Amino acid sequence: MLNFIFNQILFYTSIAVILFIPGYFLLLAIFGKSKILSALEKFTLSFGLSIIAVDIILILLDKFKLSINANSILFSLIAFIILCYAVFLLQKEKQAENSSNSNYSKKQTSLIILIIFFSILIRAFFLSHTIAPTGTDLGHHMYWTKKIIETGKIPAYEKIEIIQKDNAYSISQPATIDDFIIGEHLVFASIGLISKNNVVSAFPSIILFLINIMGMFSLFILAEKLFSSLPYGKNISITVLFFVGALFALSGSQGNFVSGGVIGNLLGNLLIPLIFYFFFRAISEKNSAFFSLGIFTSFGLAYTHHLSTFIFASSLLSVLFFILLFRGKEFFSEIKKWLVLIFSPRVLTIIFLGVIFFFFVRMPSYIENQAVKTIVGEPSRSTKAGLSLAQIFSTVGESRATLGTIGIILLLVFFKKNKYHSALILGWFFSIFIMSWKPTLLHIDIPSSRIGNYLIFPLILAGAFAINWIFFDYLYAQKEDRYYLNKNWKLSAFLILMLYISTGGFMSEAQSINPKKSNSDFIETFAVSKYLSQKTNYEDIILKDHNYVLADSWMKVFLMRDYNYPFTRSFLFRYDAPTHEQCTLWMISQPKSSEAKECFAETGINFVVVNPYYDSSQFSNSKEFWKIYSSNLIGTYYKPKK
Amino acid sequence: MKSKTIIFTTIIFFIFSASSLAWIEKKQSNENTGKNWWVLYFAEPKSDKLNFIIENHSDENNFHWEILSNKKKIQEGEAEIKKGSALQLNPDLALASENKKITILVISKDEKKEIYKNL
Repeated sequence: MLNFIFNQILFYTSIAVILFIPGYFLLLAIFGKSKILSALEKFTLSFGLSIIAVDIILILLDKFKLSINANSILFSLIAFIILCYAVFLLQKEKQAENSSNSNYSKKQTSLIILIIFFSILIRAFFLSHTIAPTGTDLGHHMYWTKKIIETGKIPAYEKIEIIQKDNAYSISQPATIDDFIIGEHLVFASIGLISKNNVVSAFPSIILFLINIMGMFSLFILAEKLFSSLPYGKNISITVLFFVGALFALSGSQGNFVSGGVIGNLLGNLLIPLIFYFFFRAISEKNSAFFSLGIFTSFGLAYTHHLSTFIFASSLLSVLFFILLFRGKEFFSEIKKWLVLIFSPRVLTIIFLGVIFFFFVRMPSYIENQAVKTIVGEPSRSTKAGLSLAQIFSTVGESRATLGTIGIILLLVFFKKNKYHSALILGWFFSIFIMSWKPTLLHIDIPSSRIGNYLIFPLILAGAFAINWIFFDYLYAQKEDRYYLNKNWKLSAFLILMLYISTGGFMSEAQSINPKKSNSDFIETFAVSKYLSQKTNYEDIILKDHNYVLADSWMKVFLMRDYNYPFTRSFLFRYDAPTHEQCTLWMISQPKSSEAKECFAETGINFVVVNPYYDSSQFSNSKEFWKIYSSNLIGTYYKPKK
Repeated sequence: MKSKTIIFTTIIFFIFSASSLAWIEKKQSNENTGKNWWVLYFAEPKSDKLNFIIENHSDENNFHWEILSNKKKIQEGEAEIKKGSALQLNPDLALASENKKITILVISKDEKKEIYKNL
């Protein structure tokens, strides 16, 4: 118990050191002690900026051939903090003194705290069933995280594969992988190194849980600023918090992504609203400091998640299009004002440093490998050919989509004149909507459902705006003490609408929670992984089944021999693709066939891990295999050399 | 000040729920706590040796083991293994002869597991 308490103290201290303090000092260097940011804004922005600062520091450590370990991270963070503090002390330029508009009434504060309580409670309850490290994606990511922890270096994202050439199968030399980006792993590696936590534990999911909570705040502070000019702006931001925090805590890209380990999307959902926040404040307040932070955060996003970067870039272009549409001829005078911001010393410095970093320190792997080409073109699969409107509604949640659509229409029809907030929400929404609905129009080749998940945030903003506009603006007469609608009718209609939305939200959450889900079966996979890591060496080649072996993606984290080791019999439908190798299927499904025998001979696979309930008779009947390990859910076979 | 109240309560809620989750995971990841399973494996999977290990994570402590050569029982015994413990048994290699399938069969209550080598 004492060990657990000590471990927890070290863990939360590591979170503070890695995920809050660097960003806080960066904000101090830029804004000093000015009240331009509320405490809640500082808290949220510190988190996002810390992630990027830590990524940059660790990439620099690696570039200068310094080992990435607890000491080097702490020393470099201390140096960064001292540097920021020195800038804070030295800067003489007075900061703008606009006080941030974040003062809530006592009732509003209580409501916000209640929403946060439920937001955390619902997620924690859901995660209590899935907190064990079993998520497939999380297993993949934790392999790279552990690689950084073990080697002290940024890994080369490569994997071996079973390849077919001239009717013969073999294991390839390690080849580059485009799916992973270093920013997804450095934060986890830093916390693992400093807190001494094993990646095979709750810590990665808890960090994702925190990223999700902070993503919720990032949308909240964005809503605060977007709607600050409206008299019911604070109500809109509280509604946003309710929607993103409590009502849709699990569905879409939230709790489900936390338990599944979808790191890139969660980081994207944290950073995209922050970037929009920075640019919105930069342009609406003519503040170059915010513009420089917008550039800095966009730069960080590019090193964190390629899909989010692509979505953000497209959304930004679309936002510019809507500003042009709404502002007409005035657009070009707007551009002149923006150029003044861009050509400020702060922004130019960030751009200059970014360019140096990009070309001389490290490029994002997807650019270096020219992987961008793989997402451009005609859809290569039906899953990339776009979602129907019904599928989009299902992806983002029916009630959320309905309300969001009303909000989008209201913004489009009635709020065109409003300076930037309509353009931002509409641009953000329409770019993602077109990419997920008709990707052929934009020539993109990405799974449409993955893009569809990004619709959730702009729809929440639009939906929160719609419900508040309808009940606090439209139905409220301009003349004092008079309502267009009787007060009771108005209240009833409001409650009915909230009931509809809440039912939709909570129904989808209820479907996500499955208390009957077994919590302990993964133990057997971990046990056989430890056994194989002790009893095998680099000459042994292992094949395991992904269809029926729980948490199989975590086996590689125990073995640490290659990202693709053990080899995997993938989902059976994948073998329908004519380009997919068939060896891994044959070797488990029909090990006595001549094709499988050739595969075993040519690849050297000599261990097979399966679930005995589904795949044992084909091995038991063969004299070529020894059954060497048997537990309830795991059977392991060895094929000795003749 | 109200902004600080929101931050403070968020930190408290988060630490409380995250610590609870860490505690739940610690219990779930423990091979013995609340678990009922056992495993049988060869100590040296790649050699001809027949040393085997019974690792017990179940509430049942009594295990009966048999060694079969081509389905014919050639040796048997009883073992008492406490939950969380493992026992290695080293059968006489002379029992094994070439061209035979040597099976280790272990029974505990109603559950049966076997491993084998085709020598």
